[in-house]
Amino acid sequence: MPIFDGSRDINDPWKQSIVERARCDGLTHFRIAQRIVGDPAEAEDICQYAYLKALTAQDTIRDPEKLTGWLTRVIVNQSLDILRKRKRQRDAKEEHNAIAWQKANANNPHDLVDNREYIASMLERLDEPIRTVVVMRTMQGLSGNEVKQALGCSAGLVSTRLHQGLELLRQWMTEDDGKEARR
Amino acid sequence: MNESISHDDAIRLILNLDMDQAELKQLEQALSRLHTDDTLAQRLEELQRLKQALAAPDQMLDEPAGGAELFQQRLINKIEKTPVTPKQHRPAFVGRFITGFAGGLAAAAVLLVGMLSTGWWTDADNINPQNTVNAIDSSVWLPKDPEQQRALLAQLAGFYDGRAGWYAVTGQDARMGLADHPIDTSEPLVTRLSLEAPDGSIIRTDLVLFPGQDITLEVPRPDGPPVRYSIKVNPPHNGYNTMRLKLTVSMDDGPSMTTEIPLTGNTVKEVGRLLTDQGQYQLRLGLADAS
Repeated sequence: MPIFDGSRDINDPWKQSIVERARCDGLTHFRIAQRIVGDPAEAEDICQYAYLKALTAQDTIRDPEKLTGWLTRVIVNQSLDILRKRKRQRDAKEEHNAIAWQKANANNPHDLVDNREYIASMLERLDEPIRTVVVMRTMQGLSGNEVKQALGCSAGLVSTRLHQGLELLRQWMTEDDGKEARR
Repeated sequence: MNESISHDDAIRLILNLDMDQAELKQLEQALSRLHTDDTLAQRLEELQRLKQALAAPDQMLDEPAGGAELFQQRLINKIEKTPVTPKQHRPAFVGRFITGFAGGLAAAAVLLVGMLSTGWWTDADNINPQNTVNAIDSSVWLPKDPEQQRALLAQLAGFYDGRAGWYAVTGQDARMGLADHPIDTSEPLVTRLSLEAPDGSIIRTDLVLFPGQDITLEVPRPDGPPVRYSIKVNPPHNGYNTMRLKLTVSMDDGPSMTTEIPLTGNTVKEVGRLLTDQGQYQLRLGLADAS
């Protein structure tokens, strides 16, 4: 008789909650990771890492309703971590990052998104609670109420963090744009 | 604005905002200000554009390998195959040990450091490898805490995508074997190899494994050449597993002993004796009961 076959606890409520999240949010989480790291295979690894980690984090997360928020946070952090490691192995990143807010102002948000590493470097500068809200409200496309529920905080806090986050990103990008213009 | 939105749409929109009267009043004031304050309008537009830029449309991104549905299925399969491991049941060192080796996935066998520092591994019998065989009780030939050891291997297997095939601990040295692909993680065996050296010291190795693995394990010794074990446990046949074991106690071409042992639960086997220039080594194998 199998002893540690994971399929044995397939009816475990915690596992079922995670499977349910994978059905609902798996692809969105994949997209978030992919927007940051670029490579789809790496994005899939990141998703697997986060969801399998959730299997061991029942004591930390406790409430299945908070799984989405927790998974998003792990996926963003892991993606940024991978990007950071990758960047360490490569030079000339400053030149590569020179693209800035100016491009977003040029009515073509795709240009900005094309530069994943620039966006990731900006997201990395945000405090984690703010970053999580920004990612969930923008990249993940959740409503304020959904984010409120997923993070277990007030709607006011969600709006405040979103505003703070977007405002900081705007400022940093504008500063970078200024530096770029002075070069 | 009133001309472009119907009565029902307005109600739906307001209900969807999930705002109370005070918040709606504030929203009204904010919209009113937006119409008269150009700076505010411009700032809001910038932030909206930034939001839009962050939410890049999916069609700009590559599909997961095989498409979205297959990706989702792969993810769900992984979750379903991995055991739920509540944190409180995990030995304290596992987190560090996993963290420390997350980057070493490619290695066939990796050295596990620091896992013994918490004292979890300490035997109640407190056998020192330097103790003589006469000084200790015969029960020490059997592995300790088999349930905990099985749980640890299961956790490692879960963490390493079902590829962790075995781990072994000798004194302060710990090693783990990773397969290239997921393996059958049923029926883990908990064993203890006790090698009595010619000087009476005992080199004890706790080896926890899933059957079917080819294990090459080198046990360092502070005062002599390493002990080498080559082990393969075959899947159960006629109700029990068999272990093929080769023992080498000196350098590559030194004397060695090969044997095949039937594995039956909660027993200690006299595996054999190996005669070398330094004297005679005696190997015993203890196997914990199946859980």
